[in-house]
Amino acid sequence: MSHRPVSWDPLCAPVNVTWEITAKCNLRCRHCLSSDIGETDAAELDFEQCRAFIDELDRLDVFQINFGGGEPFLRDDFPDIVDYAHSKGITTCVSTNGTTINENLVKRLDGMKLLRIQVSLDGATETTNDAIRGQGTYKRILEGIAILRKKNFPHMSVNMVVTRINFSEIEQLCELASNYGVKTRLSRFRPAGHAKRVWREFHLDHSQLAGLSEFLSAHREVLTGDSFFPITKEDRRELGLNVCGAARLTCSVLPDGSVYPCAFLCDEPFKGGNVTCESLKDIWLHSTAFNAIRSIRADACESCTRFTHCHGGCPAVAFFLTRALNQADPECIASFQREVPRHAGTV
Amino acid sequence: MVSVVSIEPTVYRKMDRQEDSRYEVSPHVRVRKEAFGLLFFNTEESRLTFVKSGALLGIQDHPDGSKKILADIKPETRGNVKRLFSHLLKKGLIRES
Repeated sequence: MSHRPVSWDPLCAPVNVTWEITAKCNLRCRHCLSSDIGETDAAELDFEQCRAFIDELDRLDVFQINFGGGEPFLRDDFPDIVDYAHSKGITTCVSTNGTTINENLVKRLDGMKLLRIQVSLDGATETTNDAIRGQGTYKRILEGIAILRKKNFPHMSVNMVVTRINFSEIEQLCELASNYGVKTRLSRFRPAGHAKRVWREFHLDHSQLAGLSEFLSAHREVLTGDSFFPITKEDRRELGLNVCGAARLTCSVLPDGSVYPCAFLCDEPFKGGNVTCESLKDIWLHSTAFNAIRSIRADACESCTRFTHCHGGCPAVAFFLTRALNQADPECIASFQREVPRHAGTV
Repeated sequence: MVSVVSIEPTVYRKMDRQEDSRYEVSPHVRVRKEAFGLLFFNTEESRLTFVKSGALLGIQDHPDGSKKILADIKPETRGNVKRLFSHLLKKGLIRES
Protein backbone atom coordinates (compact mmCIF):
# COMPACT_ATOMS: atom_id res chain seq x y z
CA MET A 1 0.00 0.00 0.00
CA SER A 2 1.28 3.44 -0.86
CA HIS A 3 0.53 6.47 1.27
CA ARG A 4 0.07 9.96 -0.04
CA PRO A 5 2.83 12.37 0.85
CA VAL A 6 1.85 15.54 2.61
CA SER A 7 1.11 18.16 0.04
CA TRP A 8 -0.26 21.57 0.82
CA ASP A 9 -0.07 25.11 -0.35
CA PRO A 10 2.48 27.02 1.67
CA LEU A 11 0.97 28.86 4.61
CA CYS A 12 0.88 32.66 4.28
CA ALA A 13 3.70 32.80 6.82
CA PRO A 14 5.41 30.57 9.38
CA VAL A 15 3.41 29.89 12.52
CA ASN A 16 6.59 29.86 14.52
CA VAL A 17 10.03 31.37 13.98
CA THR A 18 13.16 30.04 15.66
CA TRP A 19 15.44 33.01 16.18
CA GLU A 20 19.05 32.70 17.26
CA ILE A 21 19.24 36.18 18.69
CA THR A 22 22.98 36.09 19.42
CA ALA A 23 26.00 33.91 18.77
CA LYS A 24 27.55 34.92 22.08
CA CYS A 25 27.66 32.16 24.63
CA ASN A 26 29.42 31.60 27.91
CA LEU A 27 29.40 27.81 27.44
CA ARG A 28 30.95 25.54 24.84
CA CYS A 29 28.58 22.59 24.78
CA ARG A 30 30.01 19.78 22.71
CA HIS A 31 26.79 19.09 20.82
CA CYS A 32 25.71 22.70 20.13
CA LEU A 33 23.63 22.96 16.98
CA SER A 34 25.12 26.33 16.13
CA SER A 35 28.38 26.49 14.23
CA ASP A 36 29.62 29.99 15.05
CA ILE A 37 28.96 30.06 18.77
CA GLY A 38 31.41 32.10 20.77
CA GLU A 39 32.45 34.30 17.88
CA THR A 40 31.83 37.52 19.72
CA ASP A 41 32.36 39.69 16.67
CA ALA A 42 29.73 37.85 14.65
CA ALA A 43 27.13 40.22 13.22
CA GLU A 44 23.81 40.38 14.99
CA LEU A 45 20.69 42.48 14.48
CA ASP A 46 20.68 45.56 16.68
CA PHE A 47 17.70 46.49 18.83
CA GLU A 48 16.00 48.62 16.18
CA GLN A 49 16.43 45.89 13.58
CA CYS A 50 14.98 43.39 16.05
CA ARG A 51 11.96 45.64 16.61
CA ALA A 52 11.47 46.08 12.87
CA PHE A 53 11.63 42.31 12.39
CA ILE A 54 9.09 41.75 15.17
CA ASP A 55 6.86 44.33 13.47
CA GLU A 56 6.98 42.19 10.35
CA LEU A 57 6.23 39.02 12.32
CA ASP A 58 3.23 40.85 13.75
CA ARG A 59 2.03 41.89 10.29
CA LEU A 60 2.38 38.27 9.16
CA ASP A 61 0.45 36.98 12.20
CA VAL A 62 3.30 34.75 13.31
CA PHE A 63 2.12 33.20 16.57
CA GLN A 64 5.33 32.32 18.36
CA ILE A 65 9.04 33.10 18.45
CA ASN A 66 11.44 30.50 19.85
CA PHE A 67 14.46 32.47 21.00
CA GLY A 68 17.79 30.71 21.22
CA GLY A 69 21.40 31.33 20.44
CA GLY A 70 24.02 31.46 21.77
CA GLU A 71 22.76 32.37 25.17
CA PRO A 72 19.96 34.92 24.65
CA PHE A 73 20.29 36.45 28.12
CA LEU A 74 23.83 37.58 27.33
CA ARG A 75 22.24 40.34 25.29
CA ASP A 76 21.46 43.22 27.64
CA ASP A 77 18.53 44.28 25.50
CA PHE A 78 17.04 40.80 25.32
CA PRO A 79 14.28 41.32 27.95
CA ASP A 80 13.22 44.44 26.01
CA ILE A 81 13.10 42.44 22.78
CA VAL A 82 10.94 39.79 24.47
CA ASP A 83 8.74 42.50 25.93
CA TYR A 84 8.26 44.04 22.52
CA ALA A 85 7.19 40.69 21.02
CA HIS A 86 4.67 40.26 23.85
CA SER A 87 3.31 43.74 23.23
CA LYS A 88 2.34 42.45 19.78
CA GLY A 89 0.64 39.39 21.27
CA ILE A 90 3.39 37.04 20.10
CA THR A 91 4.17 34.14 22.43
CA THR A 92 7.87 33.60 23.13
CA CYS A 93 9.79 30.54 24.20
CA VAL A 94 13.32 31.23 25.40
CA SER A 95 15.89 28.47 25.38
CA THR A 96 18.57 29.28 27.93
CA ASN A 97 21.55 27.43 29.35
CA GLY A 98 20.38 28.54 32.80
CA THR A 99 23.75 29.80 33.99
CA THR A 100 22.94 33.46 33.39
CA ILE A 101 19.77 33.46 35.48
CA ASN A 102 19.89 35.73 38.51
CA GLU A 103 17.40 37.43 40.83
CA ASN A 104 17.43 40.73 38.91
CA LEU A 105 16.77 39.05 35.60
CA VAL A 106 13.93 36.99 37.05
CA LYS A 107 12.41 40.14 38.53
CA ARG A 108 12.47 41.66 35.04
CA LEU A 109 10.79 38.58 33.50
CA ASP A 110 8.22 38.17 36.24
CA GLY A 111 4.68 38.73 35.03
CA MET A 112 5.39 38.08 31.34
CA LYS A 113 2.36 35.92 30.64
CA LEU A 114 3.37 34.99 27.10
CA LEU A 115 6.83 33.78 28.12
CA ARG A 116 7.90 30.15 28.15
CA ILE A 117 11.31 29.18 29.46
CA GLN A 118 13.26 26.10 28.53
CA VAL A 119 16.44 25.38 30.44
CA SER A 120 18.98 22.99 28.92
CA LEU A 121 20.31 20.23 31.15
CA ASP A 122 22.05 17.29 29.53
CA GLY A 123 22.16 14.77 32.31
CA ALA A 124 20.60 13.93 35.63
CA THR A 125 24.03 13.77 37.22
CA GLU A 126 26.85 16.27 37.46
CA THR A 127 29.31 13.91 35.78
CA THR A 128 27.16 13.33 32.72
CA ASN A 129 25.92 16.88 32.25
CA ASP A 130 29.34 18.45 32.77
CA ALA A 131 30.93 16.05 30.29
CA ILE A 132 28.68 17.61 27.64
CA ARG A 133 28.03 21.19 28.77
CA GLY A 134 31.25 21.91 30.63
CA GLN A 135 32.79 21.72 34.09
CA GLY A 136 30.68 23.23 36.87
CA THR A 137 27.60 23.81 34.73
CA TYR A 138 25.34 21.26 36.43
CA LYS A 139 25.30 23.15 39.72
CA ARG A 140 24.89 26.53 38.05
CA ILE A 141 22.01 25.28 35.88
CA LEU A 142 20.16 23.89 38.90
CA GLU A 143 20.73 27.17 40.74
CA GLY A 144 19.20 28.98 37.77
CA ILE A 145 16.19 26.67 37.75
CA ALA A 146 15.71 27.19 41.48
CA ILE A 147 15.74 30.98 41.08
CA LEU A 148 13.19 30.77 38.27
CA ARG A 149 10.98 28.48 40.32
CA LYS A 150 10.77 31.03 43.12
CA LYS A 151 8.63 33.14 40.80
CA ASN A 152 6.54 30.16 39.71
CA PHE A 153 6.81 30.65 35.98
CA PRO A 154 3.89 28.54 34.78
CA HIS A 155 5.45 27.45 31.50
CA MET A 156 8.86 26.10 32.27
CA SER A 157 10.67 22.97 31.16
CA VAL A 158 14.02 21.29 31.36
CA ASN A 159 15.29 20.12 27.99
CA MET A 160 17.70 17.27 27.42
CA VAL A 161 19.13 16.43 24.02
CA VAL A 162 19.23 12.64 24.20
CA THR A 163 22.63 11.21 23.33
CA ARG A 164 24.58 8.03 23.99
CA ILE A 165 26.18 9.84 26.92
CA ASN A 166 22.97 10.59 28.83
CA PHE A 167 20.53 7.99 27.47
CA SER A 168 20.62 5.93 30.66
CA GLU A 169 19.62 8.97 32.75
CA ILE A 170 16.33 9.83 31.03
CA GLU A 171 14.14 8.54 33.82
CA GLN A 172 16.30 10.18 36.48
CA LEU A 173 16.12 13.47 34.61
CA CYS A 174 12.32 13.30 34.57
CA GLU A 175 12.37 12.76 38.35
CA LEU A 176 14.76 15.66 38.84
CA ALA A 177 12.58 17.98 36.75
CA SER A 178 9.50 16.83 38.62
CA ASN A 179 11.20 17.58 41.94
CA TYR A 180 11.71 21.14 40.73
CA GLY A 181 8.09 21.30 39.58
CA VAL A 182 8.93 21.70 35.90
CA LYS A 183 8.17 19.65 32.80
CA THR A 184 10.72 17.51 30.96
CA ARG A 185 11.35 17.87 27.28
CA LEU A 186 13.44 15.33 25.39
CA SER A 187 14.94 16.38 22.09
CA ARG A 188 16.43 14.24 19.41
CA PHE A 189 20.13 14.72 18.79
CA ARG A 190 20.71 16.04 15.29
CA PRO A 191 23.84 16.61 13.22
CA ALA A 192 23.87 20.41 12.92
CA GLY A 193 26.58 22.96 13.69
CA HIS A 194 29.15 21.68 16.18
CA ALA A 195 27.09 18.53 16.69
CA LYS A 196 28.31 17.22 13.34
CA ARG A 197 31.76 16.82 14.83
CA VAL A 198 30.55 14.58 17.64
CA TRP A 199 27.87 12.70 15.74
CA ARG A 200 29.65 9.34 15.83
CA GLU A 201 30.32 9.62 19.53
CA PHE A 202 26.92 10.98 20.60
CA HIS A 203 24.22 9.57 18.34
CA LEU A 204 21.95 6.85 19.68
CA ASP A 205 22.35 3.28 18.50
CA HIS A 206 19.34 1.44 17.08
CA SER A 207 18.43 -0.16 20.36
CA GLN A 208 18.52 3.20 22.16
CA LEU A 209 16.42 4.89 19.47
CA ALA A 210 13.79 2.20 19.90
CA GLY A 211 14.00 2.61 23.67
CA LEU A 212 13.53 6.36 23.46
CA SER A 213 10.54 5.92 21.18
CA GLU A 214 9.02 3.49 23.64
CA PHE A 215 9.68 5.83 26.55
CA LEU A 216 7.99 8.75 24.79
CA SER A 217 5.01 6.56 23.95
CA ALA A 218 4.64 5.53 27.57
CA HIS A 219 5.19 9.01 29.06
CA ARG A 220 2.86 11.42 27.40
CA GLU A 221 3.59 14.06 30.00
CA VAL A 222 7.12 14.32 28.62
CA LEU A 223 7.36 16.93 25.90
CA THR A 224 9.14 16.38 22.63
CA GLY A 225 9.31 18.42 19.49
CA ASP A 226 10.35 15.56 17.30
CA SER A 227 8.34 14.63 14.28
CA PHE A 228 10.04 11.30 13.95
CA PHE A 229 9.41 8.93 16.81
CA PRO A 230 6.72 6.55 15.65
CA ILE A 231 4.40 6.71 18.61
CA THR A 232 0.72 6.20 18.05
CA LYS A 233 -1.23 8.56 15.90
CA GLU A 234 -3.39 9.60 18.83
CA ASP A 235 -0.32 10.40 20.88
CA ARG A 236 1.16 12.40 18.04
CA ARG A 237 -1.97 14.49 17.90
CA GLU A 238 -1.56 15.26 21.55
CA LEU A 239 2.10 16.08 21.19
CA GLY A 240 1.74 18.21 18.13
CA LEU A 241 2.81 17.89 14.56
CA ASN A 242 3.59 14.65 12.83
CA VAL A 243 5.40 16.01 9.85
CA CYS A 244 8.63 17.94 9.40
CA GLY A 245 7.75 21.61 9.78
CA ALA A 246 10.79 23.06 8.00
CA ALA A 247 9.63 25.71 5.48
CA ARG A 248 6.06 24.48 6.03
CA LEU A 249 5.31 25.74 9.52
CA THR A 250 8.55 27.15 10.78
CA CYS A 251 11.84 28.71 9.77
CA SER A 252 15.05 29.70 11.48
CA VAL A 253 16.65 33.13 11.67
CA LEU A 254 20.33 33.44 12.58
CA PRO A 255 21.88 36.36 14.54
CA ASP A 256 22.78 38.24 11.33
CA GLY A 257 19.24 37.97 9.99
CA SER A 258 19.80 35.17 7.51
CA VAL A 259 16.86 32.80 7.14
CA TYR A 260 16.89 29.01 6.79
CA PRO A 261 14.13 26.38 6.68
CA CYS A 262 14.94 25.11 10.16
CA ALA A 263 17.62 25.30 12.83
CA PHE A 264 19.05 21.98 11.66
CA LEU A 265 19.32 22.99 8.01
CA CYS A 266 21.54 26.05 8.23
CA ASP A 267 24.09 25.08 5.58
CA GLU A 268 24.63 27.60 2.77
CA PRO A 269 22.58 25.73 0.11
CA PHE A 270 19.50 26.09 2.29
CA LYS A 271 19.75 29.82 2.85
CA GLY A 272 16.51 31.54 1.84
CA GLY A 273 17.61 35.15 2.25
CA ASN A 274 18.26 37.78 4.91
CA VAL A 275 15.67 39.91 6.69
CA THR A 276 17.93 42.96 6.67
CA CYS A 277 17.51 43.28 2.91
CA GLU A 278 14.26 41.50 2.06
CA SER A 279 11.01 40.68 3.75
CA LEU A 280 10.43 37.42 5.54
CA LYS A 281 7.23 37.12 3.55
CA ASP A 282 9.14 37.12 0.26
CA ILE A 283 11.68 34.64 1.57
CA TRP A 284 8.95 32.39 2.90
CA LEU A 285 6.84 32.39 -0.24
CA HIS A 286 9.38 32.70 -3.01
CA SER A 287 12.86 31.52 -2.06
CA THR A 288 14.20 28.64 -4.09
CA ALA A 289 15.59 26.91 -1.03
CA PHE A 290 12.27 26.96 0.81
CA ASN A 291 10.33 25.71 -2.19
CA ALA A 292 12.87 22.92 -2.66
CA ILE A 293 12.39 21.77 0.93
CA ARG A 294 8.61 21.81 0.45
CA SER A 295 8.89 19.56 -2.56
CA ILE A 296 10.94 16.82 -0.88
CA ARG A 297 9.48 13.35 -1.29
CA ALA A 298 11.04 10.39 0.43
CA ASP A 299 9.61 7.94 -2.13
CA ALA A 300 10.98 4.89 -0.39
CA CYS A 301 8.86 5.70 2.66
CA GLU A 302 5.51 5.91 0.98
CA SER A 303 4.78 2.19 1.24
CA CYS A 304 5.77 2.06 4.90
CA THR A 305 3.07 1.49 7.49
CA ARG A 306 4.59 4.22 9.64
CA PHE A 307 4.46 6.83 6.89
CA THR A 308 1.40 8.57 8.29
CA HIS A 309 3.29 9.10 11.56
CA CYS A 310 6.53 10.58 10.30
CA HIS A 311 6.19 11.35 6.56
CA GLY A 312 9.79 10.40 6.00
CA GLY A 313 11.28 11.85 9.18
CA CYS A 314 13.93 14.54 9.46
CA PRO A 315 15.49 15.75 6.18
CA ALA A 316 18.40 17.27 8.12
CA VAL A 317 19.54 13.87 9.38
CA ALA A 318 19.03 12.38 5.93
CA PHE A 319 21.09 15.16 4.36
CA PHE A 320 23.98 14.84 6.81
CA LEU A 321 24.22 11.08 6.53
CA THR A 322 23.37 10.54 2.86
CA ARG A 323 23.98 13.98 1.25
CA ALA A 324 20.46 13.78 -0.16
CA LEU A 325 17.22 15.25 1.11
CA ASN A 326 14.79 12.86 -0.55
CA GLN A 327 15.96 9.89 1.45
CA ALA A 328 14.26 8.20 4.36
CA ASP A 329 15.50 9.38 7.72
CA PRO A 330 18.46 7.03 8.33
CA GLU A 331 17.45 6.76 11.97
CA CYS A 332 13.96 5.53 11.11
CA ILE A 333 13.00 2.84 13.56
CA ALA A 334 11.03 0.90 10.96
CA SER A 335 14.22 0.34 9.00
CA PHE A 336 15.87 -1.61 11.78
CA GLN A 337 13.10 -2.71 14.10
CA ARG A 338 13.50 -6.41 13.25
CA GLU A 339 17.03 -6.39 14.56
CA VAL A 340 16.03 -4.82 17.88
CA PRO A 341 14.52 -7.16 20.46
CA ARG A 342 11.57 -5.55 22.23
CA HIS A 343 12.69 -3.56 25.29
CA ALA A 344 16.34 -3.95 24.23
CA GLY A 345 17.01 -0.28 24.80
CA THR A 346 14.73 0.24 27.75
CA VAL A 347 15.48 3.46 29.51
CA MET B 1 -2.30 43.68 15.96
CA VAL B 2 -3.59 41.20 13.45
CA SER B 3 -4.53 42.40 10.03
CA VAL B 4 -8.16 42.08 8.97
CA VAL B 5 -8.74 39.17 6.69
CA SER B 6 -10.11 40.07 3.31
CA ILE B 7 -13.25 38.23 2.44
CA GLU B 8 -15.02 38.26 -0.90
CA PRO B 9 -17.54 41.15 -0.94
CA THR B 10 -20.59 38.94 -1.44
CA VAL B 11 -19.60 36.79 1.48
CA TYR B 12 -18.76 39.83 3.59
CA ARG B 13 -22.22 41.29 3.12
CA LYS B 14 -23.77 38.12 4.44
CA MET B 15 -21.31 37.98 7.29
CA ASP B 16 -22.00 41.51 8.34
CA ARG B 17 -25.33 40.57 9.85
CA GLN B 18 -25.43 40.87 13.60
CA GLU B 19 -26.71 37.36 14.13
CA ASP B 20 -23.55 36.02 12.47
CA SER B 21 -21.22 37.96 14.76
CA ARG B 22 -22.11 36.43 18.09
CA TYR B 23 -18.86 34.49 18.34
CA GLU B 24 -15.53 35.98 19.23
CA VAL B 25 -12.07 34.46 19.50
CA SER B 26 -11.25 33.37 23.08
CA PRO B 27 -8.82 35.69 24.88
CA HIS B 28 -5.99 33.14 24.99
CA VAL B 29 -6.33 32.27 21.30
CA ARG B 30 -4.95 33.82 18.13
CA VAL B 31 -6.26 33.15 14.66
CA ARG B 32 -5.38 33.90 11.08
CA LYS B 33 -6.85 33.22 7.67
CA GLU B 34 -5.19 30.71 5.37
CA ALA B 35 -6.11 29.30 1.97
CA PHE B 36 -7.69 26.25 3.59
CA GLY B 37 -9.70 28.22 6.14
CA LEU B 38 -8.70 29.37 9.63
CA LEU B 39 -5.58 28.58 11.63
CA PHE B 40 -5.99 28.90 15.40
CA PHE B 41 -3.22 29.01 18.02
CA ASN B 42 -3.93 28.38 21.68
CA THR B 43 -1.30 30.48 23.45
CA GLU B 44 -1.68 28.62 26.75
CA GLU B 45 -1.05 25.20 25.29
CA SER B 46 1.00 26.28 22.24
CA ARG B 47 -1.37 24.21 20.16
CA LEU B 48 -2.38 24.75 16.54
CA THR B 49 -5.80 23.92 15.15
CA PHE B 50 -6.31 23.83 11.41
CA VAL B 51 -9.93 24.46 10.52
CA LYS B 52 -10.59 23.56 6.92
CA SER B 53 -13.52 25.88 6.52
CA GLY B 54 -12.60 27.31 3.12
CA ALA B 55 -14.40 30.62 2.68
CA LEU B 56 -17.20 29.73 5.10
CA LEU B 57 -15.63 31.53 8.04
CA GLY B 58 -13.86 34.85 8.24
CA ILE B 59 -12.33 37.14 10.84
CA GLN B 60 -13.29 40.71 11.67
CA ASP B 61 -11.55 43.07 14.06
CA HIS B 62 -14.02 44.59 16.50
CA PRO B 63 -13.56 48.13 17.90
CA ASP B 64 -13.37 46.70 21.43
CA GLY B 65 -10.21 44.83 20.44
CA SER B 66 -11.80 41.41 20.15
CA LYS B 67 -11.99 39.39 16.96
CA LYS B 68 -15.30 38.18 15.67
CA ILE B 69 -15.69 35.01 13.67
CA LEU B 70 -18.10 35.64 10.85
CA ALA B 71 -19.90 33.06 8.79
CA ASP B 72 -21.22 32.82 5.28
CA ILE B 73 -24.71 31.65 6.12
CA LYS B 74 -26.83 30.53 3.21
CA PRO B 75 -29.43 27.77 3.25
CA GLU B 76 -26.94 25.33 1.78
CA THR B 77 -24.13 26.23 4.21
CA ARG B 78 -26.13 26.61 7.43
CA GLY B 79 -25.51 23.02 8.58
CA ASN B 80 -21.76 23.15 8.00
CA VAL B 81 -21.45 26.52 9.71
CA LYS B 82 -23.37 25.26 12.74
CA ARG B 83 -21.10 22.21 13.00
CA LEU B 84 -17.98 24.36 12.67
CA PHE B 85 -19.07 26.77 15.40
CA SER B 86 -20.02 23.88 17.65
CA HIS B 87 -16.57 22.33 17.13
CA LEU B 88 -14.76 25.61 17.81
CA LEU B 89 -16.82 26.26 20.93
CA LYS B 90 -16.12 22.76 22.23
CA LYS B 91 -12.39 23.30 21.76
CA GLY B 92 -12.56 26.63 23.57
CA LEU B 93 -11.23 28.51 20.56
CA ILE B 94 -14.23 30.82 20.38
CA ARG B 95 -16.88 31.99 22.83
CA GLU B 96 -20.21 33.75 22.63
CA SER B 97 -19.74 37.48 22.84
